[in-house]
Amino acid sequence: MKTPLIIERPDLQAWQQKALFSALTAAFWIAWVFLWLPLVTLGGWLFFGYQFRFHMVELNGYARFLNVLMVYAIVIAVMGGALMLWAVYNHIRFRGVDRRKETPPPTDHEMGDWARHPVEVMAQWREFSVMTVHHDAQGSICRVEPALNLRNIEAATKPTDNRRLLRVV
Amino acid sequence: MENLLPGSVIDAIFDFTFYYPLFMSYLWMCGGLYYYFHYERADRPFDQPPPLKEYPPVSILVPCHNEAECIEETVAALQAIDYPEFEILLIDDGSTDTTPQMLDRFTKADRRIRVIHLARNQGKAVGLNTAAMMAKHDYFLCIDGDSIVDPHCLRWMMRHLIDSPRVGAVTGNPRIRTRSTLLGRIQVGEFSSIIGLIKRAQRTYGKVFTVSGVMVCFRRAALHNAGYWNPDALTEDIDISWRLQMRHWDVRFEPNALCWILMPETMRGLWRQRLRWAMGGTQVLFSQNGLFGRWRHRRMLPVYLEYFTSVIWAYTMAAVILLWALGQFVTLPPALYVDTLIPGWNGMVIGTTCLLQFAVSMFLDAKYEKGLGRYYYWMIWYPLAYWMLSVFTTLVAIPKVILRGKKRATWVSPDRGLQP
Repeated sequence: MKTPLIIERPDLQAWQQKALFSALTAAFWIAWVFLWLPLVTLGGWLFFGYQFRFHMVELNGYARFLNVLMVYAIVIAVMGGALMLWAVYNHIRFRGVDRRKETPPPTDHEMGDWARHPVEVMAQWREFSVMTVHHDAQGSICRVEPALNLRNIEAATKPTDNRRLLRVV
Repeated sequence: MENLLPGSVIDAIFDFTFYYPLFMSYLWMCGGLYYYFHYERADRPFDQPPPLKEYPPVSILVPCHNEAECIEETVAALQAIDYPEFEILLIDDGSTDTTPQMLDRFTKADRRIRVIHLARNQGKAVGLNTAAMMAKHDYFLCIDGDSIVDPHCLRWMMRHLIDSPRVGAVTGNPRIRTRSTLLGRIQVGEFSSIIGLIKRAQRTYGKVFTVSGVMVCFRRAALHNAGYWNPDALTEDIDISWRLQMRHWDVRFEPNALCWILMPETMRGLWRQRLRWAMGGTQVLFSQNGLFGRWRHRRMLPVYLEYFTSVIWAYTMAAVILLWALGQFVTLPPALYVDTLIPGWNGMVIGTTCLLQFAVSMFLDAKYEKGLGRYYYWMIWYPLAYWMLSVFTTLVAIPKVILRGKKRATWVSPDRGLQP
């Protein structure tokens, strides 16, 4: 491998990039701590009782929080439960049952109809190992040119003799 | 009464903005955990795939556009795939670097490799459609030209296609290689906690929003039935996922099929990538809106509505941010005044929920990658950085898709992160 599978090289960043990400990092940490403001306030109450009284008593924060948690739990249980019941229902209903019949691959003629090229021509395409394809404005194949090399000539004449192909290449 | 209705509506919008991501997070967690315990837990380690009933030959399709820097390792990984018979079709889509010469060299060294040069740049969908016509076999593995597959991936994916004739496509489990910057590291967590978890939850439901175009296995019969890839689709993977499922083909997720990918590590690269994803999703909203009222497509409706709701959420979130910002400078009516964006105890709940979601998803993905837990540290910024990115890309995507109309999607070389 030219490069390692995991590329973890922060040293490759420009200093501006590193500075930007460091500044963002600091900002995000502060913002995240801000989410826990009620909890931080609770911690702060250990030292400053006023804030606790304000959040928990005057704003009725404790009761509201419990109420919110209860509502959340009900909604989550209903949504998650519905999804899992649905999954179990489908599992029981369709387990080991494949109502769809095996769809065979498209025939050469069906492929030819789709590509708008004769079946014989498409069969030739599949034997080219290197080719150049030209398209029209709609992206449909106009013509295909095989690369003029020994391997293609060989493939066109003896498509199944792979060992010989290898020798030629 | 006059004030009551507008106030109620505005309250409902505020509530929706806050509760939607919160409750969806728990839904993803429930679905992800169900999937894990029901399907995934009993699986062998990813490097010991189960034996298959049969091993039908596979055509591997690799669209390439200016991949000179990466294609060598991509091809080396494909050659190392542990599967009895396959051919590799390298599609040079009008590259202007040395990719064409490199591809020709590969084919001389390995008879399994064939090269398709497109005379002009046509876009990924046309490249894949062309290769599908040239392919010898009836199963396709489609891989991006800058990704590295795990040698066992094909056996894991083919087990679905062999075991059930209903399965039209199987998507793999992309893992991030580029982890040098903050953006790269957040994406490591994102691919587990958001993309991997949602795919699992959607499979628990039974339908997926999209396969990962970077690594997906198809049944030729299903592709032919769906009309192959759409050249107008900005994200051909979302488009083909929908067209397959609308024709009642099953689309599966195989977490054991690993594929190592390069992702953007600059703001500009990330913005361009996510805007394209958002535009691709929006295209599906427009193109598939006919499913309403069609009873036989009812199972796709929740997937459609979920994405539709997430788009609405992006707009309501933007409106809340705008109102909050306005409220700092002008006096707004009380019903429109947003005093803070972090709503007290609710904020704590949503913050804790995020951390819980990251923990659950990293637990689910731990068997595929050792040491994943250390990226937990970086994931703390995901809700701020990526939710905002999602909001703004969605806002921009809708007008762009409407103004774009019907136009062919062609290649733009992506940002591939920092590389030594």
